[in-house]
Parts: sequence; C-alpha cells; structure tokens
Amino acid sequence: MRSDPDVDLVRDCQSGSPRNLSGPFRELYDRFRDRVYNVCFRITGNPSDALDASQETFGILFRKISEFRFQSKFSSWVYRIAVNASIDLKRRSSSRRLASLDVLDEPRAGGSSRAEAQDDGVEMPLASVTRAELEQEVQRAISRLSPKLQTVIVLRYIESQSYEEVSQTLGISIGTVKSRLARAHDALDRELTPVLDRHYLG
Amino acid sequence: MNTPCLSLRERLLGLPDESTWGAGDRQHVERCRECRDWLERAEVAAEAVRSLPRCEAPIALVARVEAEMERMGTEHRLEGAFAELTRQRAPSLLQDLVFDPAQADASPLARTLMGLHRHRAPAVLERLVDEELGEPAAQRARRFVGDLERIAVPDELTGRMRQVEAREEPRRRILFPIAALAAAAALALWVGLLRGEPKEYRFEVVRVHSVHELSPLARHFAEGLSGGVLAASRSLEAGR
Repeated sequence: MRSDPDVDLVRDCQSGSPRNLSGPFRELYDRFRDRVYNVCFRITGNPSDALDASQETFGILFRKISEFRFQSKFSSWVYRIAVNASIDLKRRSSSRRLASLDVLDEPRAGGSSRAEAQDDGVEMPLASVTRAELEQEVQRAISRLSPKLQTVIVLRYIESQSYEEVSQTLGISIGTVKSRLARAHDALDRELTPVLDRHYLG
Repeated sequence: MNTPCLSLRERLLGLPDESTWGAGDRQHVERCRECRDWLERAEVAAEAVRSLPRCEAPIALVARVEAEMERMGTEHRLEGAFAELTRQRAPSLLQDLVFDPAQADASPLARTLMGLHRHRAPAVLERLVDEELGEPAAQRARRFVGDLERIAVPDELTGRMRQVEAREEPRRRILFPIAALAAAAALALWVGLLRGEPKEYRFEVVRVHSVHELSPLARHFAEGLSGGVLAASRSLEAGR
C-alpha cells in the first residue's frame, strides 16, 4: 500500500526479530505510543488500565508484526489491536473497577453537597462547572457507551479518522460506522446535554 | 424518527462542515427542526469529545514494553536453542528388533513383537468421543460417578440379616418337608385320576420325624418335587 507512511519502517521491523526496544522497533514505538495510549485511555477510562492495555498492544504488535501482510494501513491494524486490547481489559477488570468506583463516588457526593451549601450563601456564577470537570463528564459519558459505540466515537473524534478509516480499523462496513456513530450521538446527547447546557449556557 | 431524517443525520455526521452539504440536505435541515436541533447538539458533543486533551504515553510504558520485549527475546532464544538440538537417530538395534523382522536373522523378540495382534479402536470410541465433545460436563459427571468408591456392607446390616435368618429357620425346617410330601401326594393322586382306570396301588405308609429318616429313593423323590429346597435345607443343617 503506497499511501501508507509506515510501510518502510514496518518492513525494517519484519526483517529483524523483536529482541529489545531499539532500532526500528523503538522508532515504531515512538511513532505510535501516544496514539495507542490515547485510544486505550479513552476506552478503558482510567490511566492504570490504559497502561496495561497499551503494554498488551505493543506486546502483540511486536510479536505479530512479521505476520502483517499490508492488506490494510498499518496504523489501522495498530488501532484495531489497541481497541481490542482495551475492550478485553475493560471486560476483565469491570468488577474490580465497579468496586473502586463505589469508593470514589462517596467523597464526590459529599463534596457536591458542600458546594451547594456554599452556593446558597454566596451568589456564585451559574457556570460553576470547570473545564476539568467538563472533561471528566465527557469522559464519563464516553465510558458509559457500549464498547462498539465507544470505539467509533474515539476513533472518529479523538483520533480524527474518516468513516473509511474507522471502517477499515474495525473491519465493518461504512454503513455500520455511520449508524453506530449516529447511535453514539443519541446516547451522548442524553448524557451530555444537561452538562453542556450547564457549561456553555450557564 | 423517519428514515430520511435518520439517513440524512448519518450522512451529514460524516461531512467535515456545512459548506460540504448538498442543496437538498440544506433544504431538509432548514425545514426539519428536529434534524436541525439534533445536528447542532451532535456538533456540540463532537466538539466536546474532540477538545478532550491528548495524553502523552507515560514514561512507565517504555519500561513495560522493554520488559515485554525482553521476555519475547528470551522466548526467541529458547525456541532457537530447541531448534538447534540435534536429532538423535534410533539405534540400529531398534531397527533390528522392531522394524525389520523379515530379515532371516531377526531375533525371536522381534518376531514376537511383530506377531502381536494390533488392536483396532473399537467402534464405540467414535460415539464416546462425539458425546464427550457434545456434552463435556455431563460426560465428566458420568465418569466421576463411575469412579466412586463402592461402600462395604455395614456390620449392622449383616447382623440384622442373621437375625431374620434365625427367625425363618425353624419355619423352613418344618414347613418345607411337609410341603414337599403334600405336593408329592397331590401329584400322585392327580396322575392316578388322569389315567382314569381304576388301579389298585399299594402304599406303604411310613411315619418319619425328619427327612433323613426317609429311604434314599423317597428322599430323592421328595427333593425333586420340592425343587431342591430339601437339599438346601439339608446342606444348611450340615453347615451349622
């Protein structure tokens, strides 16, 4: 595939064996580390799982790179491995994370009630949702989507992939990409509209 | 939501901005308030997702990937080491003993080994494997039950059976000879009646208190009529 910018580097990797992170493997790692980590982070929803999923992704990537046949863009293949590793890890650790979220939720509820008490006394601006909180809300809304919808949203908006690229990465038709994206928007709409209204309209 | 609205939304989501919309799309959006609102909200949501900060991969990831590659390197080295192991040839003695019995100087052991009957897998094996693949859990349970230890008869049951036997014994000793004799008499009478001819039979009545007092001929006759009960009763007495 001539338009693939990674072809030469991948061929270099294929001609060697992955003994350590140096040479072409290091270059490949540097080229993809942030993209892989971002996809893993946005799908798993937390840094610890994102790190595990990223490690797994590069492990699979380097172990199987000799089997890559250039029938799709290399980056699509990498994204697919990252997406699958993240979804697998999320499923495996869902029970553990549910337990830890329960613990995390408690102080947040307390903090919220304290803020409301302050609001009664002092006239705070209505747009009290900070940028960081908005980001958290958006990430939480993404995390609540099903893995299929989550993946489409992350690849389309976080990784700025076109419909064709998302279709190639996930191995689904463009029609399916479109319908999943529309469904993801419906779900995000329910989750985010109150938050966004609060943030942007005050 | 009707289909034109749905397909329009799906299509417009994929376009970069409004400037790339067709005239028909533009008209639809101007007329359809629902689609207009939905697309506005979708754009806001998409912008919110796009504006999430990009994270840099943490430093720890390098160390982890290096460790992973180190493991892979070890695996490669092991695979290489195994691949380089020299293949040992079977000793010629084995050839003589097993594979080449047709030679004139084949040893007796080789001839014996070759003469052994080669068993074919029984036909039932195919069905068992089918069942195993079909219902592995059920087959495991069945095997487990089959392997359970057989429990010995408890002493209490043996004791109870002895008590029952002891209770039944006097009855058997008395009733069985009487029943046998009665049966013999009834048979003789029945045979006589069937013949229809008045015959005179000469009976000799002998009173005995035990089967042992019967003449051997009469005793065998009684045993035959009682279906071996008398013989069993006698052997029990002898055993006691």
